[in-house]
Amino acid sequence: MAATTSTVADGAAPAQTQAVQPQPMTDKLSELWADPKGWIGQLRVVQNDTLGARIAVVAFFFFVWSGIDSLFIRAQLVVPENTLVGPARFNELFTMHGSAMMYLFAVPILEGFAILLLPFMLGNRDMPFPRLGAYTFWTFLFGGLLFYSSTLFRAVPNAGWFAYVPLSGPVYSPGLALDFWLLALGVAEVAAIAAGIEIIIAILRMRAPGMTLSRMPLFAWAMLVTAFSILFAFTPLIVGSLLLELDRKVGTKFFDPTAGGSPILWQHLFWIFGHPEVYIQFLPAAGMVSMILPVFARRRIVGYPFLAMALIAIAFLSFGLWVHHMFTTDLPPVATTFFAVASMMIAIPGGVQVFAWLATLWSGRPVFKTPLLFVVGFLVLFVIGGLTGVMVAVIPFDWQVHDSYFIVAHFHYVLLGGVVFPIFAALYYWMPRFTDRLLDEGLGRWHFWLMFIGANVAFFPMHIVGLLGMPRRVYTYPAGIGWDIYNQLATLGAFMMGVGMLVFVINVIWTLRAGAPARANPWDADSLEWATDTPPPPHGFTLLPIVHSRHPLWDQTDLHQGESRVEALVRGLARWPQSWRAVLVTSLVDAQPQEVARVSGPSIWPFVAAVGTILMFAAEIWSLRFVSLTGVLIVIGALIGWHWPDPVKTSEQEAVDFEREHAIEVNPHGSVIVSRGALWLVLLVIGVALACFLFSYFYIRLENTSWPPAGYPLPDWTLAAIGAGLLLLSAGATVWAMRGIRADKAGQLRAGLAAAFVLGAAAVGVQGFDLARVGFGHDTHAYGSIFYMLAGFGLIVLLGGLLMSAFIQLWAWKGHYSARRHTAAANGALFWYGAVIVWLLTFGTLYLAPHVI
Amino acid sequence: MTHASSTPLPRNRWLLIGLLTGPVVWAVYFLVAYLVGEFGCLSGALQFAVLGVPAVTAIVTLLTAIALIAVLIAGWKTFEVWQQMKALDDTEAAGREQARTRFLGFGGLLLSGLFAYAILLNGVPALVLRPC
Amino acid sequence: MRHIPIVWNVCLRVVGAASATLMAGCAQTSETAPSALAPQGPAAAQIAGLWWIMLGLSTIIFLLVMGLLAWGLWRKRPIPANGSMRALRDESESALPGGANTWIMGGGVILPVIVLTGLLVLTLGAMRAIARVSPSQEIVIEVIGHQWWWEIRYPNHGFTTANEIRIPVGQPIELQLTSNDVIHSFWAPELHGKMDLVPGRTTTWVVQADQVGDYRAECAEFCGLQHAKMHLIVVAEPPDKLAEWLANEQQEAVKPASDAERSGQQVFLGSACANCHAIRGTNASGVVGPDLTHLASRRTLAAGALPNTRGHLAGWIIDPQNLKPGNLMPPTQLSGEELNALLAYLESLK
Repeated sequence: MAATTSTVADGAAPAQTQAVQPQPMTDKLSELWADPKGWIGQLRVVQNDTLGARIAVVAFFFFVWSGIDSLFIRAQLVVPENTLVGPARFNELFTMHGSAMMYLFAVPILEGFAILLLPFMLGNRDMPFPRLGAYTFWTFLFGGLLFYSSTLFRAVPNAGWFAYVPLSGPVYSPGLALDFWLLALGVAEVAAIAAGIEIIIAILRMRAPGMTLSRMPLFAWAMLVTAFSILFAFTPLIVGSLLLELDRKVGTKFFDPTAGGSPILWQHLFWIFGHPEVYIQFLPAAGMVSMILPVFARRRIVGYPFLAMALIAIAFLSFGLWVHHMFTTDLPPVATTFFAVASMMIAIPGGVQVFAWLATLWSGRPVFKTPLLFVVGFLVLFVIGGLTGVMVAVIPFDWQVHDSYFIVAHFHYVLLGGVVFPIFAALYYWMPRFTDRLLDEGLGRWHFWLMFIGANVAFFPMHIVGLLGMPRRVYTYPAGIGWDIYNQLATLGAFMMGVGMLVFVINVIWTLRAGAPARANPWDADSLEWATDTPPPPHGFTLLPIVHSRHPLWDQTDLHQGESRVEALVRGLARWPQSWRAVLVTSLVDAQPQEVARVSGPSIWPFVAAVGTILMFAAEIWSLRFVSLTGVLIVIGALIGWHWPDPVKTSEQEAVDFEREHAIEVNPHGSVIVSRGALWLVLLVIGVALACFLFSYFYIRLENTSWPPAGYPLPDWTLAAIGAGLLLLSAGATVWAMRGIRADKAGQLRAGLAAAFVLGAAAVGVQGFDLARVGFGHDTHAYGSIFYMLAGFGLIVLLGGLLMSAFIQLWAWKGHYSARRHTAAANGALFWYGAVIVWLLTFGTLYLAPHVI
Repeated sequence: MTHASSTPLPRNRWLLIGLLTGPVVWAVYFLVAYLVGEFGCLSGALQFAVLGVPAVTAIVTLLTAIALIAVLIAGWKTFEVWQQMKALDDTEAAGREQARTRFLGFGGLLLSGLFAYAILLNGVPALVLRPC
Repeated sequence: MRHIPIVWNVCLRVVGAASATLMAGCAQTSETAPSALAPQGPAAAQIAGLWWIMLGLSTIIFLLVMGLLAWGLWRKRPIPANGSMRALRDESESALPGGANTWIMGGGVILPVIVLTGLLVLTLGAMRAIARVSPSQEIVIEVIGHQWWWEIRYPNHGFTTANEIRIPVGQPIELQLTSNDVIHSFWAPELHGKMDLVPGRTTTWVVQADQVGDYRAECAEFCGLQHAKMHLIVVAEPPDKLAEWLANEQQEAVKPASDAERSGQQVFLGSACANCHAIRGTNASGVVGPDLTHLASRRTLAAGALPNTRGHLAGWIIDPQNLKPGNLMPPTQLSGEELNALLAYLESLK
C-alpha cells in the first residue's frame, strides 16, 4: 500500500538532456526566440507557448462565463412556472451557453493546448506558421468579445446554437441578434481553420528526427485527425453562415421556402459541421487521456496501434452522422438508416479506446493523483454518454427522445464527461510544465468530487424527465405533471459543479502564488515535452531530441544519440543559425531530416490583420459597407506587410556551408515543404467549400419542380464557354511556363506566366460580362441566389489566383526564380490549376446542368 | 541484419494508401449511396423498378458490393504486409522501418476490417426497407 | 487507501442507475406526465420495447466496464522492492491476463459488433412494423404550425379548429404536418415519436391511440419566444362519440340566443377580434389567429397555456401579453359590460 501511494518519480531515471546543452548556446537561442518586450511587444508575440497559453486562458474565461449562464438556466427551471428570467432572457441564455461552449470554449481551448504542447511533444522549436498562430489568437479573442458585446447592444442571439431557419432568418429574427451570432462566430471559425492548417503541418512535417508515425504521441495523432476534421467541418459551417447572412442582409432566398429555398438545406450544412464538431472536441480529449492515463498507471499504453486507428476511424465515421440530427425531418428511410448505421459504428472504435485504457489501468500500478481522478471520472461519464449515444442512433427511439431532455443528458455526459473532464485532467497534468508549480492535490480532490457528483446529479435525472416527455429549450414547464423533482435535482447538481469550478479557480490562484514547486518531470512522464528545462526556454530544445521509441523518456537513456549524421545535425542546429528562428522539417512517415527552414519572427501584422478582420465582420452587423471595405483593405495591407521579405543576417555562404556539412537543404527564406503542404491544405478547404456550394445548388434544385424555375430562361452558355476555354488555355500556358523554369529558362517562365495572366484575366472579364447580362436578380428566387453565389465563389477563387500570379510575375521579372529555387512560382501555378478546376466545375453546374436535369 | 525475410519493404506511399483505402472508400460509398437514396427518392428520378427491385435498392446494393470488394482487397494487401512483419518479434529492435511498416500494415488491416463491416451493415437496410 | 472513494462511487452509480430505472418504471403509473415509457399506441409501444431492451443491454455493458475499471483500480499490485520503474513497466506488459489483443478485440470489437448487429436488426424490425400500418382513409388531419399554436384541419369534413386533435380510438390516423412560419415539431410521447413541421413541405405521421383519453402533445422544435407554451391535446374517443363531435364541428357557429350573447357577438364583430379570428356563420373570417367557431368545446386556451374557463378567457382577452408574452394577440380595451357580453357569446360557441 505504501508503495502505491508513493510519488511517481521515485526509482526512475528520466533521460537527462540539460547536462549536454552548453549554456551559452541556450542563452543565445533563448534571446533569439524570446517574446518581444513592452506593451507593443505583447501585440507582436508569435511564440507557440505564449500564444497557446493565451488561447487556452481566454477560452477558459469563456468557459466560466457560459457556465454562469447555465446556472441561470437551471435557476429558472428549478420550479415550474418560474418567472425568474422570463422567456426572452431564457432563450438568450441557452443560445449563449451552447454557442460559447461549442465555439468559444471547447474547440479553441483544445487548439490552444495543441499549439502550446505540440512543438514540445514533437521535439521541435515552434509551430510552422507562428504569425498565423498569432492571427488565430487575435481573431479568436476579438470574435469572442464581439459575440459577448451583443449584450451591450441589447441584441443577444436567441435562436439556439444551431440557429435553424426560418426562425433565424430575416422574417422571424429581425434585428441584429442573429447577425452577431453569425458574424462574431464567423471570426472565431476562421481562427479555428487557420489553427487547423498549422496543426496538420506541425504534426506531419515537424517532428523530431526518428519520431516515425508509429512513435508519435497519441495526442499528436488525435490532433492530426482533429485538425483535418476541422478543415472538413468548419468550412461547411462558414458556407452555411455566409448563405444565411446573405439571406438576412442582401435579400437572397437560399433558405426561404416561399421563394424556392430550403430550410432543410441549412440543417444539412449545419450538421455536416455540427456532428463532427462533437468529435473535434472529443478526439483531442481522448488523445489527452491516452497521454495521461499511462503515466499514472505507470505502464506503457496498451494497444497503441488500435488507439491510433480508432482516432482515424472516429474522425471518418463522424462525417457520416450528420443526418442523425434530422431523423424527424421525414427524409427517405434508406437514406436515414445509413446514418443510423454509421452512428452505431462509432461504438466500435469507441469501445476499442475504452478497453485499451481499461487494460492499461489493469496491468499498471495506478497512482491516484488528481489527473487520474479526472481520467477515471471521464471513463465513467463517457461510457454512459456512449451508451446513450448508441441508443439515439436507433431511429425510432430517436423519434421519441430527439429534442427532449434525454438528448440534453446524453450530450452533457459526452461533452462534460468526455471533453471537460479530460481538459481538467490535462490542466492538472500539464500546468506544472509551464508554471513551475503543482496544483494542490487536496483542493483538486474537492474539485473532482464536486464536479463528478454534480455532473451525475445534474444530468442523470434529465434522461428520465426527457423520457417523461419534457422537450428541450423550454423556459418553463407546467406544474403537476411530474417533471419537478428531476429539474430540481438537475439544478442542485449544476450548482454543485459551480462550487467545484470555484474551488478550481481558487486552486489555480493559490498555486500560482504559493504552490508547491514542481520538479522537471514531476509525474515521471514519457513524452518529450517533459524533457526541457522547467519552465521551458522560449525555443524549447537547444539540442533537438532524437527519438527511438514511443516513450522516449522511459526507454531512452540518451535523447541525443542516433545515426551520426543526425547527431551532427542536431548539434549543428544548436550552434547555427543564431540570427533567425530555425526549425527542422522532417519526412512524413519516418521523420527523417529533410530541411532546415526559417519560421517567421515577431510581427505586428497578424494583430493588424485580425483588427481588419474583426472590423470587416463587425461593421457588417450594422451593414456599414464602407467600414467593412476598410477592414478588407486593412487585411490586404496587413497580409502584404506580414509576408514582406525580411532579409536574414546570415550570409548565403553560411547556409551553403551548413547544407554541405550536414547534407540537408537550408531555407532561410522559409520552408519549401511547409509552404507546399499549406497550399494543398488551402486547396482542400477551397474544394470543400466548392462541394458545399454544389451540394446547396443541387439541393435547392431538388426542392423545385422546374429548373430553372418558371419565368427564368435556360442559361445561355456560349460566352461562358468561351471564358472556360480561355481558362484552359491559361492553364496550358502555366504548364509551359513551369516547364521552362524547371529547365532554368527564366524567359519562358516570364512569357508563359504573362500569357496565362492575360488569358485568365480575359476569361474573368468575359464571365463578368456574361453575369452582367443574364438579367435576373439574386433576390427573387433561390435559383438566382445560388446562381450568383456559385459564380461569385468561382470568380473570387480565380481573382485570388490572378493576384498571386501578379506578385509572382513581379518577382519573376526581378529574377528571383531559378531551376533550384522557384517554390513560390510552383505554388502559384498549383493554385491556378486548382482555381481553373473550380471554375470548370462551376461552369458545368451553372450553365450545362440545367439543360440536363 | 535482423531481417526475418529478405523481401523488400513496401514503399511508404503504398502503406499510406493501404491505411486509408478503407475509410476513404467508405466515405465515398457512403456519400454516393446517401445521395442516391435521398435525391433518387425526392426527385422521383429513381422511383422505378428493375425486374421488380426498386431502382434505389438495386443501385445501393451494387455500390455496396463494389465498395466492399475494394476494401477487402486493401484489407488483404495490408494483411500480407502485417504477416510479413509479424515474423519479427520485436519490431522496435528490428529497426525503424520495420516498426513503422508493421504499424501501418496492421493499422490498414484494422481500418479495412472496420470499414468493410460498416459498408456491409450500410447495405443491409436497403434490402430490408422500402427505399422511399 | 486513496482509491476507495472511486470504488465507492462506482457502487453509488450502480445503485443510482438501478433506482433511476425504478423511477422510470414507476412513472408509467403517473397520470399526467406524457411518458414515452407508458405507451398508449402501437408505435410508442414498439419504441418503448426498444428502450427496455437497450436499457437492459446498456446496464449489463455498463456494469461490465465499471466492474473491470473498479477491479483494475482496486486490485493489489505490489511494487517489487528492488525493481526500477523501467523493469516494472516491462513486467506490466506481461501482466495483462489474456494479453492486450484479447481485451481490445473482445471488449472493443467483438462485443460491440454483436450488440450493434442485434440492435440494427431490432431497429429495422421496429421501423418496418411502424411503417406497415396503413392509415384510415376516412379521417385525415392537417396540422399547421404557427408561432405558437396549432391550426387543425379536417379536410374531409371541411372544418378548422385549433390546439386540439380528436381521433377515433384504435384507428391509425394520418397527420399531414406543415408549418406556416418556422419549423415546429409534433410530439405526443404516449402515442409516437416526433415529426417536424417544415414550412414548404408536408410531412406525414401516423398516430394511433389504443385507449380512450387525452394525450398531451408538445412542440418539440425550438420555435421562438413561446416555444415552451405550445401545447396540444390529442383526444382519443370512441368512434360514435367522435362522429358526434365531427358533425358538431362541421356546423356553423350557433346563433346567439340571449341578449347578452347577441351584444357579445356585436362586440366581437365590431372590435379588432374579427380581423384575426374566424367564426363560421358570421362575418368574422380572419386567418391570423385560431378559428373560434366552436371555441367553447375546446379544453384549453392559447395552445394549452390556460384552461378554458370564463376567468382565464377574460384574462386572456384583456391582457394576453401578460399571460403569454410575445404572442401575436394584442390586448383589447373593453368595458366590463362589453367583456361580460363577449364572454357570454364566446362561451356559447359549443
